[in-house]
Amino acid sequence: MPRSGVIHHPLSRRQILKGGAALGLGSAAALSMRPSWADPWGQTSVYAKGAEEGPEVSLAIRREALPIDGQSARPLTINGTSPGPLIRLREGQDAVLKVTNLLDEPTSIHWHGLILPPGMDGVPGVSFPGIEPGETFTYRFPVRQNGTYWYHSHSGLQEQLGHAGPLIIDAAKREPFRFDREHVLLLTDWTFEDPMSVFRNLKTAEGYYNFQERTIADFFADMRQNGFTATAEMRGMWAKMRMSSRDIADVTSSTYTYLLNGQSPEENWTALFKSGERIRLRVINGSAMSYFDVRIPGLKMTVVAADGQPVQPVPVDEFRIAVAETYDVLVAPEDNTAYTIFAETMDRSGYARATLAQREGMVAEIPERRIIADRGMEAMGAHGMQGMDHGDMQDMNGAGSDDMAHGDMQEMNGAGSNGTDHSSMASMNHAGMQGMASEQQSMNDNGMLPAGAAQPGSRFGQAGIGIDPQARRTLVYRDLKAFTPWPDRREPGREMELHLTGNMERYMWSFDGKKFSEVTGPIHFEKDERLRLILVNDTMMEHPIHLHGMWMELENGQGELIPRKHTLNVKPGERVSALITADAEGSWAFHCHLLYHMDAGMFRVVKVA
Amino acid sequence: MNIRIPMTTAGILLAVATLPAAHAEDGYDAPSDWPSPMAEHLLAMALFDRLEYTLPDEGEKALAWDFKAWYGGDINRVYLKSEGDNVQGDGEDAEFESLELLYSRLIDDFWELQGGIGYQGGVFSDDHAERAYGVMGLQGVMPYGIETDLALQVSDEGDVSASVEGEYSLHLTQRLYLQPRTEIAVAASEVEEFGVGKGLNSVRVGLRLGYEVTRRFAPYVGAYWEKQYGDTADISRADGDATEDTGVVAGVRMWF
Repeated sequence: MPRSGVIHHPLSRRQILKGGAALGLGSAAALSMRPSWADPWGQTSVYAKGAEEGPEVSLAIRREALPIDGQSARPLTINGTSPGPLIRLREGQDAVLKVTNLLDEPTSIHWHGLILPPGMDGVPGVSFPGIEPGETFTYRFPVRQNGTYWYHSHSGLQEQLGHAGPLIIDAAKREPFRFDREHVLLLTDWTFEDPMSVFRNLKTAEGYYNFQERTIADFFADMRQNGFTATAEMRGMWAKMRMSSRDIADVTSSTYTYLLNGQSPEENWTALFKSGERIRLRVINGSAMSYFDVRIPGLKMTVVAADGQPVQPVPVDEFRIAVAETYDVLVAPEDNTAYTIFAETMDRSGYARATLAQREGMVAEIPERRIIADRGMEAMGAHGMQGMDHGDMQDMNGAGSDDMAHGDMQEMNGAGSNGTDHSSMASMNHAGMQGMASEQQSMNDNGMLPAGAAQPGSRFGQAGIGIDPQARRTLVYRDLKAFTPWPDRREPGREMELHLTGNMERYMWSFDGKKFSEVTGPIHFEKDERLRLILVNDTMMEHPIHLHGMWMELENGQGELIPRKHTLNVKPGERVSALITADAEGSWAFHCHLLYHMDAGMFRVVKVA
Repeated sequence: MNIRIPMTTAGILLAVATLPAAHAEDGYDAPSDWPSPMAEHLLAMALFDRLEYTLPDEGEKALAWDFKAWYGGDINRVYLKSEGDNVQGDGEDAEFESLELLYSRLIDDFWELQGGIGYQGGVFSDDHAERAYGVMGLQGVMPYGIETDLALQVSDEGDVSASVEGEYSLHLTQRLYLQPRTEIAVAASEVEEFGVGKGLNSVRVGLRLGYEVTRRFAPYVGAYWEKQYGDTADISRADGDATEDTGVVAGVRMWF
């Protein structure tokens, strides 16, 4: 291993931390500006740097002063850092994770993406009562998987305060790809506001954080491009629905500082490598609310795992990472070159940034941010227009001019030029004609699509809003192919359809129109059944839907090689499905992983019995 | 009428009492001493939509307010609403055009049905004629984003009146906005004491140009035109007041 020759700090940060604790300092806030695992030299599989190595790990949760982006802040810390330490387990171990609550309120840790007994899942009120102040809860579970995961609080809005960290499980057998060094890239969104105040602002004033709304100037710009009639009709449709086509992110850089490994773009966290090394980047989106588009200009990335599970290699220039997803990519940087790791938010209001280089202090150019895109009609079609018949849909598509070319349409969707989904027109028609499209699909005897087939109304070929597929090769869900077929080869025995719903005006989010407080019972999965969960997004926002306790095999059309995930990004107006083997008896959380959506009611309990 | 006020008040009290208990049991088998995985939040907000100094061409200068505060959840809320002014230099105290306590229920994505009791009269003194009334209203956003407030009032004397307010915000830049606004009042019966005639009472149209220093604080300047009609105008004429006026305003929109 090339790593062996490098001697880093004579005393690791962790040792300093421990010394501090031993001396009764309680906290090493002043010493630790970043988690010790975020060492510029990263990690190698034989020598974990600054990690809390399993099987036995002790974690203490505190609220303490710790600078963020050079400003004073009071995040939640785990063993003295925020984000928390890297927890490193090994497949086959029996993990013992002791979590001590030194806060003055209850807390919890959920191990995101891990398959474990229901009592160890860490959701207060579903898996256990939570961890009271002063209490220690010991999580014990067998580690039956490997890959890149993360952990975070599942209590209230604590996750927004930095109560999260990376969780890596080393494989028992050799993984299907090789690398020399690895770096964890943990993306988070930090606000100096009280999270409850963020929630209140979202609830009381629509568009509170959006400073990229359409103005009169945009109207005139569109008019010059598309003509008055088309522009007026398009704007009229949005206005009629009382919605904003610029509603891409609820919370934006107007309050968020986007962090990569706890560091702001200016602080520029640096990942180092040595000549000729192949680097594995374990990218985790630990944000409360922010989707990122990640790219490293000048470097091809090969996606080798999604949500911790190996996939067949996909070379890409950019990938979108929804909240709570993880992607592992391999890169082979050239000598004497610095690269910017650029994670631009989906609404283009900000970015997180780091540098990949051979020496600290080297920097590369920071790319220009793209301009916010307007949502197109695929989002509009989803919201409030479901009853619309086919003919109307066509009229809408044409926006009043029958001979409108495909290109014109794009421009309408994309506010002129950039960031438009090239194929959105096609998919929109597709979505509007579900009944017809499905006739073309082959069906099983029970009238259901065969396992692995993509639902009509899915847009797995698109990365989503604000991505121009012509500009660079961007990962799309259709690219994801499992390395080998997953063990349960059964066809689904039944289908269950859930709609993702919301009221933007009141910031109410729900499944099937009911907030968690309004539902009367859990969602039932039959023990050991194989079922198809169909998710239909009736809103005009993306939702990263997370099921605890069981994998969701995303039916992206890859047949027996469909990938399995813990978090599915469902785009506006999209209809997607996943196969689930309900082998995990007990109660499990199921929710949108946008923190404020979940807190506003987009949460259910799934009971497997 | 007399029975209406206590009933509405009882309704509000009932609503307030049941708000924190609006927790449905999810029905999965978590022990009863475990917390709910998702807490319901009750929120509150107080908004001065207008807090302005008015300089009319004909009438007297005045300090005017349009205030709204609420407390509650997503569906059920309690509102306190008030409009009024303090005419400068008339030696009289400020006057509530309206002071209302309302129970509000979300009946549609964009609409709240509201009902409660109101008061019109002096703020601190007996300088102004007083009356109480019951009120039913519909508050929400019309298609095309027009903020609307419709209200029907029945006074303690049985006099019926109604008003409609509409407001629209146009983004000039991310912080600069233009806000046309209109207010129309009608009445079913004449109440001379309050300068109210039968039929269409008055129409007021205004335009404000505001700048959001923050989302919560936006100073503005504006102008308005107002005109009284029919019997209402006759009452004003008899009092020697103008029936049509224009003016400019400067003020601030803010919320907490």
